[in-house]
Amino acid sequence: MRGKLIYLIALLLLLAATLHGQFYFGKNKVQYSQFDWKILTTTHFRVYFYEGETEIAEIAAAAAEESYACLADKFNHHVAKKIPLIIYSAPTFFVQTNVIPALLPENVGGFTEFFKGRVVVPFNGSIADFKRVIRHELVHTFTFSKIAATLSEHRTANYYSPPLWFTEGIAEFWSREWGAEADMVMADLALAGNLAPPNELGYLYGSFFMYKYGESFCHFLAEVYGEDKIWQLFENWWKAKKFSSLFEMTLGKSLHEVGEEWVYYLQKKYFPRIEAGDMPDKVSEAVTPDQFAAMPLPLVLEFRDAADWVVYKANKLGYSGIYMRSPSTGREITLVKGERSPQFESLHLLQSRLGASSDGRFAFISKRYEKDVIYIYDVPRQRIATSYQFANLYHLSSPAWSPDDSRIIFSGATQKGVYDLYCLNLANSMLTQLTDDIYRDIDPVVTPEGHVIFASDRGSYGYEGYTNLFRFSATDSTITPLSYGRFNDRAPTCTDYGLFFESDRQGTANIYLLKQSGEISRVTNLVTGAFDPIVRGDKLYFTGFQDFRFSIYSQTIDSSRFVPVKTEPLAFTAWNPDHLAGKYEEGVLDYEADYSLDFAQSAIAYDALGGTIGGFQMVVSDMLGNRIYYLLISNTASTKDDLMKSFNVGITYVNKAKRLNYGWGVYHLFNEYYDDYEGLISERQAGGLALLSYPLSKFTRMETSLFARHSYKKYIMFERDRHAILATNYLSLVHDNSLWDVSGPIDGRRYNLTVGLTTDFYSGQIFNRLAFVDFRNYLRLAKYSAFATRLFGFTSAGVEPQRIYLGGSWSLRGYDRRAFYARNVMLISNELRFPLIDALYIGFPFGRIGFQAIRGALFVDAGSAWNDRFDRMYGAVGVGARVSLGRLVVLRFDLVKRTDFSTFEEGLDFDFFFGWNF
Amino acid sequence: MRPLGLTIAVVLIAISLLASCAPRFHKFTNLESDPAGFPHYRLSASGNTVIEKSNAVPDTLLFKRKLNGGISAQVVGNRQFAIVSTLNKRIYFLQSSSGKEITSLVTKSAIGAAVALVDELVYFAEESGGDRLICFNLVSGKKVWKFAVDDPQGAPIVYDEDIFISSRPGILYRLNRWLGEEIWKYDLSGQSYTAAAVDSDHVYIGSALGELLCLNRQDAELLWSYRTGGAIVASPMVDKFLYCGSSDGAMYALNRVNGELIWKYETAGKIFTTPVATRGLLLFGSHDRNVYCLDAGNGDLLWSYETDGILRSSPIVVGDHFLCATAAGTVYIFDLAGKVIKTFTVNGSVSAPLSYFDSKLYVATRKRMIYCFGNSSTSSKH
Repeated sequence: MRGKLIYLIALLLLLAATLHGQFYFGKNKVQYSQFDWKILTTTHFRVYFYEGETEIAEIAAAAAEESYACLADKFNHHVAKKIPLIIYSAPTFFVQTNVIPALLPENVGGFTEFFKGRVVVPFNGSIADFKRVIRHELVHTFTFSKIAATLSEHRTANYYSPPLWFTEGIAEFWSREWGAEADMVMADLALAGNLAPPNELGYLYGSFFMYKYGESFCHFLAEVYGEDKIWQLFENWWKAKKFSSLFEMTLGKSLHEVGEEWVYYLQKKYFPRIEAGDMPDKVSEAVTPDQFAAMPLPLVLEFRDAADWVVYKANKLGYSGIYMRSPSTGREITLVKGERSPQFESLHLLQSRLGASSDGRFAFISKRYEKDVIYIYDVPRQRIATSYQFANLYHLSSPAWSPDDSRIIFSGATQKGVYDLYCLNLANSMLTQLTDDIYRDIDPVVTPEGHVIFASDRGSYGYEGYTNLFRFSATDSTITPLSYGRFNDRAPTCTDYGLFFESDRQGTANIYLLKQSGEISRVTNLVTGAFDPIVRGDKLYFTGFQDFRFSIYSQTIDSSRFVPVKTEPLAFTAWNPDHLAGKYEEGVLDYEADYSLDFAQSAIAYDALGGTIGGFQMVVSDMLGNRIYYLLISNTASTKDDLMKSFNVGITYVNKAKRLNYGWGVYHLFNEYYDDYEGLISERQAGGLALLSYPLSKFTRMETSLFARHSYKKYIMFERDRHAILATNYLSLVHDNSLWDVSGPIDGRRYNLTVGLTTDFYSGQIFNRLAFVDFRNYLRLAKYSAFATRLFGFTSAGVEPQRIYLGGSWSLRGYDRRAFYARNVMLISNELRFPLIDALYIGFPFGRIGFQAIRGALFVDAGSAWNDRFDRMYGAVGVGARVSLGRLVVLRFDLVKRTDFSTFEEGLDFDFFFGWNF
Repeated sequence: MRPLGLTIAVVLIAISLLASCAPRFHKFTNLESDPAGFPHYRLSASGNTVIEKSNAVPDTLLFKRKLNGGISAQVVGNRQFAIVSTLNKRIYFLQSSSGKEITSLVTKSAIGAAVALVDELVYFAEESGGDRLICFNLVSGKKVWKFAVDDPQGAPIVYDEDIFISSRPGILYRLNRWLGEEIWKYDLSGQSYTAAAVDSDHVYIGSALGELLCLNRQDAELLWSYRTGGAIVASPMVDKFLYCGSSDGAMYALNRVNGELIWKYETAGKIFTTPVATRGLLLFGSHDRNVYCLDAGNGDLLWSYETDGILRSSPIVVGDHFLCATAAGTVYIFDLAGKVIKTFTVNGSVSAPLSYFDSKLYVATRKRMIYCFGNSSTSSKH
């Protein structure tokens, strides 16, 4: 019987909760823009693009075909079907994609979805990056297609996934040359003694570092064992049952053995570098010790008894913000809290510099709703002075003030995604576009003469992705190169010494100085990299990389230690990207929703009391994920005679193409269940539903739903029945800006305020009304500690009021999951969350099982449930532990003592349960 | 419920048992002798697959058939039957006239490379999981002998009384083909991905380290070796010179006596195909999607043609025609001047070397399909 109820609940959830509110809380994917989608078809791809990004789509098509040819060779494989390649012209549009339901973090450069094999890539302004990301994602496509083909050819079902470090490592290895960034990460790992065979670097799982050590390991395999060993891994996939066996079979050595060789290889490679160079913390002063910080901006400002304030961006405890610190006093002030509100949705931590005026103001970029905004922050007043948003500019970067504070020069991208330079006149808010071409112009700075110096991929090596420095003349708008070579010069800053900039021209990124004479000298010689130079007086501030993180350092400038470097004569050859213009198989077609299966499953269960229960669920959606149909059919018949009348059928359509999401559905439900108040009931409902959801921002939304149905209820034990034609409306306000740890939220706030009204048109009565509030606040105490509070209240009244349960591990702990069932419920929970055990390994004769990040909890719960008269409060105090299993599910253990708030009950209750913290 | 549930369970178990039962091998009691003489299969010991006697261009599909697993092995056979080995542990014997299954042999593991058919004996190598070379008598329907080989790579190569097989860990074995007894074995000092090529005095084999070795056939003495820039995946081919492609993208021509490089031709992709030599021409395919025709004497490019996919399937020459198939599933027939005469599309990627016997072209795909093409003027369509 209970099994049937679960089926019914599943169906109702499916029908009623398919828009933003599908998870009760949750942040929103806001469709700020609507696109007119098109398709162009090439030999191996169907490229989905929208009006306005045709050129980008043609570049993508050419890059994809080029990558396909390369990867077919490397994988010894052809992908059987045309690969869907979905292109967005800018990251701000990319994060709106519905191809996958999850919210996309800002640092995601693209992804491959495996149900339909869709590759989704945004253009970030750099054509070389764009091509590289396309190839990276296509490596994933080939990887899984090759594995599937190999297993299918051998008709074997022993599927096992490659480890993520290998999947991402090979994607990096086969999509780019070994670069300065990867070298920096590996040097840091090696010199800090953090290297281990790749299968033992679990603590870096899913991080950027994992991509790089995976890439390094693949390089090592190719160099030492031959690249053939990598494709042989795929050829041999069917021969093993797990990756470690496959690896050993293919290489002739275990993964651990080869991993140890790799570690030694890297030690030999990187240890000698210490003799020639230095670690940042050994030769510099740490401005932001123990912080992940970047983009320093020293101010000329006396403020609160200090004159050495440095503004910077940092990620503290999971959120990015802008801070100010005085190294001499150690005092720190929070200026902007980012990622908690739509005004500061993203501060582009590592992508956009800060710019200072001469009077204590600074400019920074933040995403506000869909577009980036220039904010001017007044430091003495500690508030935002003003902001600038531009109608046609979606992405902005690195605002720089002119020496007379009259203008701000910045890099901006229109809907086409191409970054050009713009000049904002602060006196009249007039915007002037300085450059207008396909090249990526970034990191501008204004010279005392008014010229703009910037980094760009417009140089001869730009086609490969390298950026050099250029000067835009304020007098005649001509652009001349200042540096030239197959390396990256970026982040220039004008000083009395000359032009400081960062460059990876000698391998690792370091700070260099370009003098008026054209001579270039190396200023820093850090083994693990220096970036974003800025000078105040005789101090050089920069972002350094060490111990897995960026941080801010300073050095006193000593020109006697500058090391001149050889330079090539300046040259400049314009380049144009390859297009696949016109070479399409079917021309450009308008996009029409082409539905295909996302998910289908069926199940049958037998219950000794309830009989056989069978069901089938199916989800189909279009290629862009904007239109989705959910179908569910089940049967709850206990006997053969009941078969035809016991079908539960529901179909729901959801459209997420626009900001206002909507859905409709029809359903027929029949079930028999036991109600604690009304005994055994059989109920038949048939009707329709309509759903609307409007996100106000990423964090807040309004939802409403309407259910209209005929309901026939038979009270079997009381031998009576009732007919009703019911219309139910719900209206909700949902907010969520929480930040999650491995076992649940640890920072931020979320709430759900809902009111509902059900009217019976059959009797003309208000059938029931309800209201509930669920408010949760997470007060961060430390990196992994928080004090969580939940306030929950529910009330319903009417002819047939709704009743809910109270009790259980997710509710009032220490009490049975169905301990209370009433139409009025309140619950207050307070919980201290803290780290308990970092890693726990349990040994067995066949190996060991490890658990990471076990979290502890101390809690106090108080709640009550009543119908007509409040009785009393029930309470519980307890301790608990939570462990994340594979980052998919959390196992919870609670030890609870019940109380009526005057005495404690005898004995202890304990409870094992699965689920995230509230 | 119980009787019904029990019945369903019994039926399901019975179906499972039936499905898992191996089919019985039917003996060939009326095996015809092949007038083409020994060896009866077309994968020659030299590696050069040239069928000079036929000149009819296959232009008609005679039959196609879906088998139980992907096919990466060359089809071999005679006038009576075609032998198709699958990666799903079965060797099919199909009527060469209609493609109907005569019988099949269940193996312990995948058969990734061609079987060797010599009169009534079939030699086949079971890959990882089986790890053995087997000699099977088609007339008696019995295993004659078996020999343990760790993950055999490439087809067994029969030459006179010998049979050669290599293993993934890099051991090359020479066995007596009647008794399955080891005569010698040689450690290549690197893994092996492919079969050897054999002539009267020498055995040539490439290794995963990119080394091409020439051994004395009698005593396995290493006569010379030559290092290419990448793993050797396809068998070398013996003709005037020793020709071998490498995954460094180059085709090498070496002096058979001393291993000196005669010439080298570089392509833009790995070379996984064994070349074919005829009338002074050397033809092969590359992973750069091109087929190349070189002057076999000096390596000069005579013509090339860009196909629709990478070429993993070793080509063949039939009379005045050059035949190859791509991993994208297209079969190309060229004249020797490089003009495309005919193309066919097949379902699935082709990596098995093409096969031609009894005036029929066999194309096997990794999507479990076997195609047989013939000439409409000489074949009757079935």
